Parts: sequence; structure tokens; C-alpha cells
Amino acid sequence: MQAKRIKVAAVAAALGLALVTTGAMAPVANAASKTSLKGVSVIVGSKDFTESIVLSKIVKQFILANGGKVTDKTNIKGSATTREAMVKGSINLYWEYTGTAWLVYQKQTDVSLAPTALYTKVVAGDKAAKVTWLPMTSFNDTYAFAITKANAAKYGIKTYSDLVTKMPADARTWCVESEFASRPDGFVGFKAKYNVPASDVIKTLDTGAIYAATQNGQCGIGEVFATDGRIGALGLTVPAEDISYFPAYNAAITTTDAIAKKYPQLIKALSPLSSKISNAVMQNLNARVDVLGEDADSVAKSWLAGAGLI
Amino acid sequence: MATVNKGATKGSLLSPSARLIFRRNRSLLVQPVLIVIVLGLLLTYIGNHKLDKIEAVTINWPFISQAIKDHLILSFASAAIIIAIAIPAGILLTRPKAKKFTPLVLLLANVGQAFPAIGILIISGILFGFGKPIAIFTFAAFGILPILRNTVVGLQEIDPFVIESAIGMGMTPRQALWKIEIPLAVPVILAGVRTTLILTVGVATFGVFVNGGGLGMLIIPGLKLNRQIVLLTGGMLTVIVAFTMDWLARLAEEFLRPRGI
Repeated sequence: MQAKRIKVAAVAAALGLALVTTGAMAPVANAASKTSLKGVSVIVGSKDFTESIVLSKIVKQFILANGGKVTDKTNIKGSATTREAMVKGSINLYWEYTGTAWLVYQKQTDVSLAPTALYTKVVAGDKAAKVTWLPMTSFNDTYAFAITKANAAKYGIKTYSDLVTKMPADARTWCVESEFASRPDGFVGFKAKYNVPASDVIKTLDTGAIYAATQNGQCGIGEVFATDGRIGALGLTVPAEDISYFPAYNAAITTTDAIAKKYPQLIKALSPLSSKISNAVMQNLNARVDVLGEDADSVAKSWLAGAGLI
Repeated sequence: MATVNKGATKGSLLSPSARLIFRRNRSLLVQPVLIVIVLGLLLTYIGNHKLDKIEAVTINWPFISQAIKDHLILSFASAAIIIAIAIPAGILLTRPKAKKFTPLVLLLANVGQAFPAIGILIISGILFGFGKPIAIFTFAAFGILPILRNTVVGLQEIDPFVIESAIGMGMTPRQALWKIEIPLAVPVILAGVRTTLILTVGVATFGVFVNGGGLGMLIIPGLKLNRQIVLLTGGMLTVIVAFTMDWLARLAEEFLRPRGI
């Protein structure tokens, strides 16, 4: 009996040790190569859609690979909630979009600014809120409306105005998600700008469901994100925005001034990341998660490794 | 008898049996008063708050009244389906011939409750079309278990000697079912009905994800855009609807409760 108990204990200990070392191996292996972020400990948040999560996972994996510590609090419901979480200190950084900050947090209304000019104004505007912006990406993940390629060909739709003038009323069901329907840069203003008839059917769906619903015909026009991987994968297309309505939405890491001051080495290390993420890269990473079903953390890690960043 | 006569005064609004019920169960009168007070507080809060552009999109009477209407439709329709399926199913499952199916059916009902609600909802929407019908059908699937279980338990709990005596008195098994078993099980069944009604009112907030409407249309944007007043209004109205349905169900329970058994 005694011998058997010792055997069981030994096996359990061996298993436990194996589990612990396997878990500990990844950072240990990388810490040997880079320790530039040792001593950094941050809470990384993100909004609740794939692109935001993937971008934050890239930051997380980057920091981990460089010897830092990360608490993962990604996938927070809602833009404003995530921003509030950072300002209040529940998270330390997340990726925000210039257009969103401009219209929703800074309550501005001018949507005519070019991406770089908008970025400069947003950064200046956020000084009062004690928020630091790192450099922005070149990709512009604006709100967009998508239709099937088949419908685009059938009705000859090339611009957003064509949606109202060339698509027959019964095909024109608009699918939006509830945040977009309430935002000042959202559907209310778009309807006014493009003279969308009040009689058009509007359906409110979950963000993710809109892509599939547009593809299978339940929505004539779906509200999507411009760099989403599913647009290409599901045979959808986005007409041109002929009447300028949406502002630019370039992404950038935002953090509080306090964190920037505490970890200047982190800010320096993270700053070059955004310039490596082009439109094509973002769409590809999004597609890997949304279409191929890969895990966001592994997509982030493999991309960083492939780009030679870790 | 004496209490009924004491209560019967000329020109009284309620029937003697109604007054008896309210006297016996004070909280039945308190509940609607509380509901009205909470509603009053909510309206005062909204009235005193200057709405910004985002809040004004959802905090207006047309939007809110549509949301409440849709929410009631979703809740009542799913509750009706649940009751129509679960109570007869529960009765059938306690009949001697069907007893061997009981564990399997209860297992299926259990599984229905364990499914991730939003996932199933959206997949069903993609497959069968978004809108109220799929929402109602899916919510019904989630809520079957409490009533089914309560019906089965309510009937199983009846002392078998009571049924034996009924048969001994000359009743057929069917007469015994309708005259003795079901009336005795009514309190437990109705408790299950009340639970389900509250459940469906809560779950109906998911209607916002599949074009079903409902009070989720306030809660989700309020949450995502960090607007307290929108979130609070949606949440409080859901609570008020739930408590109102609960109160109506309790009234039904009191009136349907068999006397003298």
C-alpha cells in the first residue's frame, strides 16, 4: 500500500512539474533572447471585435516576448466602456481609432479632416484627458456598408449613393448593429446625408452576424468594418463613399500619461509596431481569426515572429 | 364563512373572494405599489437629465414604447409556447406508460438550458432568418426546463394513496388525473410558470442581436457607448416588466389555487 501511494505521488508530482515547466517555458525561452521590457507590468484591454482583439494580442505577445508581464483584459463590450476602463485605470492601454475619439469622446463634428490632420488634432484634444497616443497605422478601418458582389453587378452599384438610387426598395434592407445605430457618426447621420428613405427596412443585429446575413441574402446592405477579413472571404464588396460622411479611423495604441511616464521604454518599444500593420496585413490577420478560426493569440504571435519583431 | 360575510360591504370594488385573497396575502397589494414607485423614480430621473445626442437616439417615447411592446411580445409568446409544451409533456411523463422516457426528456431539457444563449440564437438566425419568430422559438427552448421539471415534480409528489383512494372511490385513471392529481399539482406547476415568465423576460433582452427588438435595444447601446441613463432605463424597465408579469402570475396562482383539497 505504502509503495503504491509513493508511486501515485511520484506520477502526480512528475505531471505537475511537466505542466509547470511547459507553461513557464515560453517566456523563459524568449527572456533569454530579449529582456528589454523586463519590469514592465501592464493590463492590456481591447474592444469586443476581432480587429481590436488581434491588435491588442499583438501588443501582449510583443511585451511577453520581451520579458514583460501582461494581464489580458481584452474583449470589453463597447468603445466607450473600454475607454472609460483605461481612464479609470482598470486597463492600461488599448487600440483606439482617431475617428471614434474625435466624434465620440471629444464630441467634435468636423468629418472632413484628412487622416494625418485628424490624428494631430485628436492627440492634442486628448491632452486634457491625460491620454497618450502612440503613432497611428496607415490602415483606415472605417465603418462601411457592404453588399454581395452579385448584387453590385446586378444593380450596377459603385457608390453609396447608388445604394439608395439603384437598389430596389425591397432589396434595400439595412442591417446595423446597435452601437452604430446610436452613435453620432453612425446610422442616424448617414441616413440624413444620403437621403435614405424612411420606409427602408432596418434590422438590428449582432456585429458578427451581419456578415453572414448579408452574404445569405437576409440583409441587402450590411454595416461592416472596412478591414474585416470576412468581406473578401464571403464575396462581399464595399462601394465607394461618394459623399464624405465617415471620418478617418486610423488605429493607434492609447494609454494614460501616467503609464507613459512610468514605462517610457514600453512606449519606445511599441511605437514602431503600427507602421508595420498595413491594410492588407490587418485584413489578413482578421481573416485568419474570423474565417479560418485561428486563435487570436497565436495569430498575433506568428505574425510578430514572421515580421521579425520578436 | 364568517370572514367572507365580514368583508362584504355595500359598494365594494372587489368580490368577496378577491378581498379574501388580498387580505390573506398582503404582498400582493404591495408589489404593484412598489412597481409604480420604481417607475415614478425612473421617470423623474429621465425628466431631470439633459439628453446628449447619443442618448436622445434611444431615450424617447416612440423608441422606448416600441422596445417595451416588442419585449412583451417576445416574453409572452415564448412563455405561451413553453407552457403549451412543457405542462402537457410534464403530465404525460408522469403517466405509468411514459415513465421510462422521463430521464431522457429531462436530460434534453437540461441541455437546452445549458446552451450558450447568444451563440444558439445567432446561428438559428443565420439558418432560419433573423427576427421575432426565431427569437421566440429559441427563448422557448431555453425556458422549457423549469416548467417541465416543476410539472413532473408536482405530480410525482402527490401521495399515491390519494390516487388509490380516488380509484377506489370509482374514478377512472383519467378522472383521477383531472380531478385530483392536476389540481393538487397546480401550486408547484404555477411556481414553475412564474419562474419561466421571469426567465423569458430576462432572456428577451437578447432580441437586440437578432432583429427581435425588445429592451436590449436600450441596454446594449447604453453599455457599449457608456451612457448610464440609457443602460439604466433599459435595465429598470426590464425589471419592471418582470415584476409586473410576476405579480399577474401570482394573482393567477391565487385565483387558480383549488380550495378545500
